[in-house]
Amino acid sequence: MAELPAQPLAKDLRILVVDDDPFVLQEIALHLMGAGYLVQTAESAAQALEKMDTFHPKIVLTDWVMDGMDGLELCQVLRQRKNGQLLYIILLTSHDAEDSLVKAFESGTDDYIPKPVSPRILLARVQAGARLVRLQIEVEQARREQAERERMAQQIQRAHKMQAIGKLTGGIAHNFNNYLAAILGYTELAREMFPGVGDGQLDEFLENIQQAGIEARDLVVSLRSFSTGDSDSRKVPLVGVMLDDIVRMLKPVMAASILLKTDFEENVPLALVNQDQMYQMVMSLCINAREAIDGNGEIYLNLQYLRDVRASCASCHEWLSDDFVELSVSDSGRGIDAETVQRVFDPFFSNKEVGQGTGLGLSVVHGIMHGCGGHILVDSDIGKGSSFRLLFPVNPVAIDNAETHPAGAE
Amino acid sequence: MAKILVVDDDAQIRGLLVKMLSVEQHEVIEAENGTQGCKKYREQRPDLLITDLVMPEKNGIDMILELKKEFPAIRIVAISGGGGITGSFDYLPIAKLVGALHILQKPFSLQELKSAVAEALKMPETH
Repeated sequence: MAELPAQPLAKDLRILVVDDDPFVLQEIALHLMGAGYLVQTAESAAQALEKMDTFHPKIVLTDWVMDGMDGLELCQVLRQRKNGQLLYIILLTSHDAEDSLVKAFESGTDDYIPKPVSPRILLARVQAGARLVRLQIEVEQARREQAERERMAQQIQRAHKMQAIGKLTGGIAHNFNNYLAAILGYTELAREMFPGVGDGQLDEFLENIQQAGIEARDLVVSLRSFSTGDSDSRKVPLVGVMLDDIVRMLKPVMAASILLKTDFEENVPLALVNQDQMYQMVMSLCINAREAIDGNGEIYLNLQYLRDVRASCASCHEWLSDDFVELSVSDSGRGIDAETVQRVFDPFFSNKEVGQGTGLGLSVVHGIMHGCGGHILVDSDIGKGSSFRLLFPVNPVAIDNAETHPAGAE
Repeated sequence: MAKILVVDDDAQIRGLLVKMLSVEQHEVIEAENGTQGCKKYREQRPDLLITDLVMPEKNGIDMILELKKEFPAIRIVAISGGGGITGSFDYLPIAKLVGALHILQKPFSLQELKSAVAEALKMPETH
């Protein structure tokens, strides 16, 4: 596309003109508008500062001598504001002595136009400024695009990492189960075949081994959920009644000082889930929420239908654009910073003290959700709280068990 | 009392199964992989085959498929640690699909093994 120099540029460029003489102000504004710029005016520095936040000009033309704050002071204040260095400031002045001009530039102006203002000089200088501003916008845009590309690359890298960890944990789980089968099996046999040896002391020791083995087995089950999402399980519709049951089972686990508040939308579209997995996920999320609010306060569970979700999954980083049934668990706790959110789904990531938790909770949630074709979003603000949002795919038709298992065939 | 063939590449697990089943007075034969398993099954015609799934040489699924063709009424209990050695692929549901009567996830308890074996043996030879 061939570029047209002045016109399209002028149209989207905003200019704020500041002068305490309404007549001069209007004349300049008219000239600039005539050239196609978007113009607003201010009759004092104070008014100008107010308009900065609503109008967001790229160029500021200001008179030097004004009542109250003068042009040079305004210039200094503008430079200290956020993004103030990106403004293009032109001073209107009748002080054209060398010292005065140097002082003006030292205060941060980019250019000056002598008063009385000649319309041709005005437009020429503004156009020169506009050229610089446009370059600056291009540079800024390129920088943003570069940052976006880097963010995407990072996301892909993280997604690969999650996949690799999933594969690894699957392999580890397999081998561990073999070792555990031997440990638990022989221990059980020993207890069964040699009861009462050593006044029952041996049995006590064996029982300890067995207990540790069972805990290790549960840990491996969690690991496997991360890697497979456990596809071999019966599915039931995700509905409020089922969640009510889960909440009832959860209550004894939560302290009495915690209030579980629920809002389950009725008639959400059909999404199929495994009830045990739902329990496991809701419990993990509620336990995390309990930690986040230091065991005191409210936790909200919310079920709703979300249309046209457009966001990037917090754990697999896939870009989503679809309808989902959402179950969210929210707290008003301490919140998680953005960098930590990137790591919370890694197996064994934990901000609890060693020994307090396995750190597998959220990685299991990741495994289960992606095993059922779902995704996870995380909203979190430091000091304000977090919301973990489980997105379940909507099932158009329940064609689950109809033909997949040829029972009694052969 | 039944004659049971146990196939697992892990000697420790094989030994465990032998011991557990002996406690129940069963006669146990062992094999280390699918190839050996097929051979021993043909030679000795046990009442029940208990097999691991992920094994070198010939894996459990291939062995089940091969024996099922020859002996459609074969009784099988499949056991696995779940997940493949190199990834997260799960063979147990597949074992069920190709004809295992029961599947047992490692680690399993004596009781789980006992009831799986008892139920498998209860099944009529022609099902």
